[in-house]
Amino acid sequence: MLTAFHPGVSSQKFDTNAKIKAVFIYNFMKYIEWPKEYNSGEITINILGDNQAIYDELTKMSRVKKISNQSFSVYKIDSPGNVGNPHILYIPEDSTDQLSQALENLDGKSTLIITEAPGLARKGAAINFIVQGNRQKYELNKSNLESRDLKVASVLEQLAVLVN
Amino acid sequence: MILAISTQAQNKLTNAVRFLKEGELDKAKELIDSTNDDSLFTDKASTYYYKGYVYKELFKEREAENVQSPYRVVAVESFKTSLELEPDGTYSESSRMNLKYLAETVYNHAAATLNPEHYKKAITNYNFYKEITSTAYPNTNFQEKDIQFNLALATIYNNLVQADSVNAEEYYTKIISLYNEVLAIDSNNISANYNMGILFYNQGVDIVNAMDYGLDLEQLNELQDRIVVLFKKSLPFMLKAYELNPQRRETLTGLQGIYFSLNELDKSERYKNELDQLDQEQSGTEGG
Repeated sequence: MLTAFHPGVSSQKFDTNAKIKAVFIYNFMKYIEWPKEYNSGEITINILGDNQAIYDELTKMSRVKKISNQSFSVYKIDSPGNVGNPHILYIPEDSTDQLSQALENLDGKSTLIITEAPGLARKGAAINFIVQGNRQKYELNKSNLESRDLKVASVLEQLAVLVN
Repeated sequence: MILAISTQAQNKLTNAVRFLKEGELDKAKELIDSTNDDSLFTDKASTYYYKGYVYKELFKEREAENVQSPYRVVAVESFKTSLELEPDGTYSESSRMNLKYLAETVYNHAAATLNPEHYKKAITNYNFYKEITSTAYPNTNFQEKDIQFNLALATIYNNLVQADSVNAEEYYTKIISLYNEVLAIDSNNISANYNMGILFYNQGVDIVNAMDYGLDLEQLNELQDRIVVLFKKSLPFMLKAYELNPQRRETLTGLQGIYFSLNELDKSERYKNELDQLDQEQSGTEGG
């Protein structure tokens, strides 16, 4: 009786897209300038809805990274009514239908609105994640940034899909 | 005088066989070893056959757990020489049977040492097993065993990648080569297809996992190019595994992950739904 060999390999469970988006978001924070009143205290990132993967990645990132000595914190909010006055509001694809209400609540505030569904850079988002050739890219609407008194570095513009 | 020497010499073999039968292995070994330089014996199949037999018994009695047993090596060489001297003689069939027995012990030792610590011994023993078996039975087909061994060895290298990331590239090259050998034998081998798919997928995931959050955008885009290549390389293998068995959970999970990482979310959702459906069917079966 010969002994049998036992082959077996398992796949890794890991949301690659969330990590890649987190790296993008760190660059957005680096290359976007907020008005002075936002430059003290911690940077806040609010996530609308319950996207656990992006929440986990941003939270991990917040433990190891800072922007110009400002640390940052990540919060999940359950409705656009609780949006507050964060540096960034992240609206995952499955919360897209709440964009218009979030825009109303953020009127006059210098919040960078990041979305991830087709067409949203033309509907009020400053940055919208898109997919091109199986890769994560981002649309950037400069008017939507400037209307919130946010300034963007040229490096971010050069690598963006610009939308008006 | 010459006749007396010859008779004395002849007695060496006879006595060695007698000691062998009586279980006096050290005495049998001493006598059989003393025939090495005796021209009366060096070209006789019977001498090598009995030498093989004595050493085989020594292996069984004293080195059965030794995966690199020197007694076994001598036994194998002796039976092989006996066969070479007389391929169809009195001792040939028994030599073949003894070689088969020894080959099986070598194979079992290959299996026993197929772990991250001792896998090099496993490779040596597996090749030795094939060499012995080919000598005894030249028409033996090793394809099925090669598939089993290569898949298991690839699993060991996969474990070593986790433990020794510095040499990961070297291990990956070996793993791919092993799976390719399996697929050259049997392109429908589900494990090789699935494992090859997972290998490329995991390589892509490893790159993302290791990314620093502070990576600049150009570097990020370059890495995205690299991982997309890897995810696309994994896809045909995983799809083939799916074609071979559409209800294998691991394959459905793999396809869900690959398409998700490629941002083809509709397709990812399709395989997720199939997985959910499979789970429902299984829980229904278990419940009913």
